[in-house]
Amino acid sequence: MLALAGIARWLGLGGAPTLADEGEARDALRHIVPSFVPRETWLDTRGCSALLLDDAGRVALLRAHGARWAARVLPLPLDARVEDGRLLVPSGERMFGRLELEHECAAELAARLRSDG
Amino acid sequence: MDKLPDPVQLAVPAFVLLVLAEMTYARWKRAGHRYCPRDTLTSLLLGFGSSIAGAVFGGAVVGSAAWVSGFGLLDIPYAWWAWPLCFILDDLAYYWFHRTAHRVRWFWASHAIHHSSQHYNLSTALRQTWTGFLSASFVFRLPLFFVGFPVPMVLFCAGLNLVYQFWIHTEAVGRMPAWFEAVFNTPSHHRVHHATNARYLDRNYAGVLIVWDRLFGTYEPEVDKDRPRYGLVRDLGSFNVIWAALHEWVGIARDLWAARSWRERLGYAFGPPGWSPDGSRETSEIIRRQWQAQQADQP
Ligand SMILES: [Zn+2]
Ligand SMILES: [Zn+2]
Repeated sequence: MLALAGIARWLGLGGAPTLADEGEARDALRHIVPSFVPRETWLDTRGCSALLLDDAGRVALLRAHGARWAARVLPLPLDARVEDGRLLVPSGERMFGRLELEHECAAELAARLRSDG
Repeated sequence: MDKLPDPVQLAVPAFVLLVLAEMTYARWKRAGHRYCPRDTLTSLLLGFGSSIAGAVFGGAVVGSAAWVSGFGLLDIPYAWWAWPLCFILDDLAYYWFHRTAHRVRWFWASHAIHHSSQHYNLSTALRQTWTGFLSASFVFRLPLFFVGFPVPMVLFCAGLNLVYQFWIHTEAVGRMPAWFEAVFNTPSHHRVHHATNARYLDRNYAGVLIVWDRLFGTYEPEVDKDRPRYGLVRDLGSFNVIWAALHEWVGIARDLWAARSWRERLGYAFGPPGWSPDGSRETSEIIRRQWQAQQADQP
């Protein structure tokens, strides 16, 4: 079993996807949660995650999961904080984990998520 | 009881070779996104776990089958005509099992594991249930024993059915010839089944014959402009093997714990997946209705 997975890696299959711009983040999210209409999109500087806000006071956390994207939609406010310039947003689910977002305005965003957007 | 080989066990070496071939093909076609090593490893471990669970509970399943056989209406022999009849009726039983497995949360809790990958490749096929015994999935086959088909014959046909379903878990095959697509379950039909797009949700439950879906109104063809998005409506976002196998049971347990009435308890355990007392969660009907409304809004 390990050998098969090893061969997949050796063949160069998979690999983490990246988001080139906000438009790609919106596209990726629309495929997962079609009902979410983003008003604002915050993209990780490395393109490996995004945080989107809608008009209904909801937040979408979008992050890579293996070679695909995974998302959660949560209501505000959220227990967001900043560590080493990275915004950390818990999903509230242990198995889903948290969103990490590298952004120059991480502190400002964290404050907004802790209030109501 | 007569002894017949287990088709699934015999096919394992072929499964491994075909997974290797599909990986190489994906690489050659520069479609590396079709595979993810971590996801494949999880699939393989889930398949392994399933075979262990099967070995542990298999005896009880065979026992109950033999017991029902004791009341068999007929005494069907191992005749040439009995085999195809058994295979077709078993496939029909599979259709109803599989349809129920998507529409009743108690059965879905065991089947969700099969849909837990966001990828669709041959390794995905190996994600098989660990808890089928707990869900009592075997009851769907009991009518065959009751009619009087020999237990080993039914189990052999069920094994063949599962082996058939392996090869359709691939994006490497587009469409088969039209006559084949009309009668048999194919990669195209089953991609629809694994997709969470509103158009495709809870469609194409077939095992081998897609005829059942056409007959019972659950058929949906794959549309090229609506590319399937694979996985669960709410993806796990985790490669944890135990979580993939048991997450829906944990969900049921949590909901039952929080439930305030027997109506809620019954709904959480035996309602459709996504059922909630106040309709605040999404069932596949709600998702489809929202999508249809959206479609109608667009000119
Ligand atoms: Zn299914
Ligand atoms: Zn499948």
